Amino acid sequence: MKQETTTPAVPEWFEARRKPRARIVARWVPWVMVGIPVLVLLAIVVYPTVWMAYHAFHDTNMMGLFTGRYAYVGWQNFANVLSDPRFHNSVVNLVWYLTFGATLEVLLGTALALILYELVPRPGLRVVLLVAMVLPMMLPPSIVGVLWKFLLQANNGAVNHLLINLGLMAPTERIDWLGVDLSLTSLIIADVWQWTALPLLIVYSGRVSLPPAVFEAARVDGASRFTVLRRLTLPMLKEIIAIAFILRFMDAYKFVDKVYVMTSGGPAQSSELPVFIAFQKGIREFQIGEAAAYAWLIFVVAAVIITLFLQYLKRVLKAQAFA
Amino acid sequence: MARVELDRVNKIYRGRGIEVHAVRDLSLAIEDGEFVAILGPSGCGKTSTLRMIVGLEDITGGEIRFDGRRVNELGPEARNVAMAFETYALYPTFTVFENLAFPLEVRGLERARIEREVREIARLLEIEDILGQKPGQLSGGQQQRVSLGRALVREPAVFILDEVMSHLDAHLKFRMLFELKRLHQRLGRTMVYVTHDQVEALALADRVAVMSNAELQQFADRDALYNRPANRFVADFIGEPPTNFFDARVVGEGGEVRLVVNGTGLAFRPDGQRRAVLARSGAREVTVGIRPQNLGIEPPDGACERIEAEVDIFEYLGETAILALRSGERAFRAVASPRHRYEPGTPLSLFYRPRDVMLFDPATGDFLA
Repeated sequence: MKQETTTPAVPEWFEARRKPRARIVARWVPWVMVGIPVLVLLAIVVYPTVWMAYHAFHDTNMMGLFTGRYAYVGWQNFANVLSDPRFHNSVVNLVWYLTFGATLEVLLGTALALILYELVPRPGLRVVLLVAMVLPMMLPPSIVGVLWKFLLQANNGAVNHLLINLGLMAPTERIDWLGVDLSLTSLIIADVWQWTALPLLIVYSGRVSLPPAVFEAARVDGASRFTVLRRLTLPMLKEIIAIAFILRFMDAYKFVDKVYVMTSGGPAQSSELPVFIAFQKGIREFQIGEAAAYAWLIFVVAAVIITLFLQYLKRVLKAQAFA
Repeated sequence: MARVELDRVNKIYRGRGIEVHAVRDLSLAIEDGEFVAILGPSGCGKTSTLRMIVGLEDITGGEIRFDGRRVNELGPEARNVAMAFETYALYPTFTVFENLAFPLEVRGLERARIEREVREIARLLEIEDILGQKPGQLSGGQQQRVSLGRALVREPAVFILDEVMSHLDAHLKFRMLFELKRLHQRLGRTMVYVTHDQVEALALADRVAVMSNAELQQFADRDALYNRPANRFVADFIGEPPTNFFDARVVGEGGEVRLVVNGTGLAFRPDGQRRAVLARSGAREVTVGIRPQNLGIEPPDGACERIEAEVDIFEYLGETAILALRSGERAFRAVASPRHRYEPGTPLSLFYRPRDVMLFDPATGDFLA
């Protein structure tokens, strides 16, 4: 007669001692489970990084890559990059872009989220407005780029037409949005239009989850709306806003799609960013060595910034007793 | 300091096609310096009432007056009320000191004065040692004191407490009840205390407003609530364990009137005053209410009557014991001394005083005598 057994605490295949086949499975399953992601990571992260580090010290170009002939040049690639005015220019652009783009998105998003929460009383209307504001975020960045490129055309773009029709500009006048002076600003406008919704969503959900009794207490205590905003709402949302900023910052740092579609970094490199130059050098001109040096510089700076952010995040989570 | 009047106050919540009448024609007059509790089961409208007094909720109908002045249209900041919340609602980014200082700060008091007042209130509530800490680091009892302190730090017209004890453990609750009572005696301010716990309400308040189903059932002191409840609901809700109710027929005439409980061997004899009420009304059916505390195993002093029943369960509670009894099909309860133990099935004589027999109208539930 078969003996009745209760359900074992571990799966049957894990009971390695009983069946030889099960023992083999039990031994190898963990290795396979961990091995596959490790191999994938090796293939798409570690290998390219090491490959790039190697080529950053060689004068590799397309020919060299195919023939296998390239020479060790030491720090020459890095020296070239760091002394290149084009690189300096792109760093300045990036700083502008980060300060005005990412910051503006977070400020605008926060302001809109709080206005939506505080000043729109009907929940139905709130949802409609929220959806309307989130829609741009759902478009592919390249489409947004094309869209704004059309809107900002100097001669028959909708934005210039609008300004003329509103009487803000003489009918003969033209603002050259994608010209040397404004190309970076235009990129920022397009990006703000698309991404303001992300900080908006984050801050809005953060505001919704704040305990209502605290705000009632403040009303009973006699605080004005502005005092409540300044002394309570914003300090209580500080961490949430910081996280929204970190997310936008990280995304903006590797911003390349709209540059490619709208201006290709031009005119006269007025809207170039380091990532775009690395892309140009590596994929267009096949200056693999110099592109690798670019990529490494970008990577190191990103690693430093991300580490700082993570430390901040850890402190925040600790303060809120999550970690 | 203020006298607070509620005059036929109504609250109706309107949602998508739903209408909830949360407070119906509520009239209350709370005297200056009085400690009033609003008591009722959850959903009875007591919190809506309190939020209307504070000004956090619109008043659908009726009028609320502070010292005779209509305040319906005023926001909470203009009514000069102070409130302690059930969830404490401390400002999480502020220290305890800043929490206590906030109501004074928004009124534009000077720094030195704020400092002095905060220290004063902290001393009163014995929280001087935690002034530098943030609310997240405090225990429930400490948070509760801070929230009381924040309400007490200024001189409000009315001081309102919303279920402030419900998150405290029994031991701490007992101590805080005592301290709150002492605070009220010392400060002499008008206080409104909302709770679902009758022990808190009866311990603290000068008068208790009992609410049920959006309506005020009775507004009286504890003696009246206990001995002359306005209706069956109040008699049932006030007192622990709840009052026993029996549907009875009026049998006999004059001094021989007996109230015979249907389907049991029980019959109660009311006192002379109640016999007179019965004779005047000519009622043949009444609901008899008798508190478990008024049913004893030993005969009390003075005139008493007895009933016979059988023990169902003997529940030992330490200080007292509760006897679950049975007569025929009817179960009821009595409070006994825990000195004797009774086995289930033991026949028992129980004594009561005729003046403890309460009579209610069986149809409306109103108190007759």
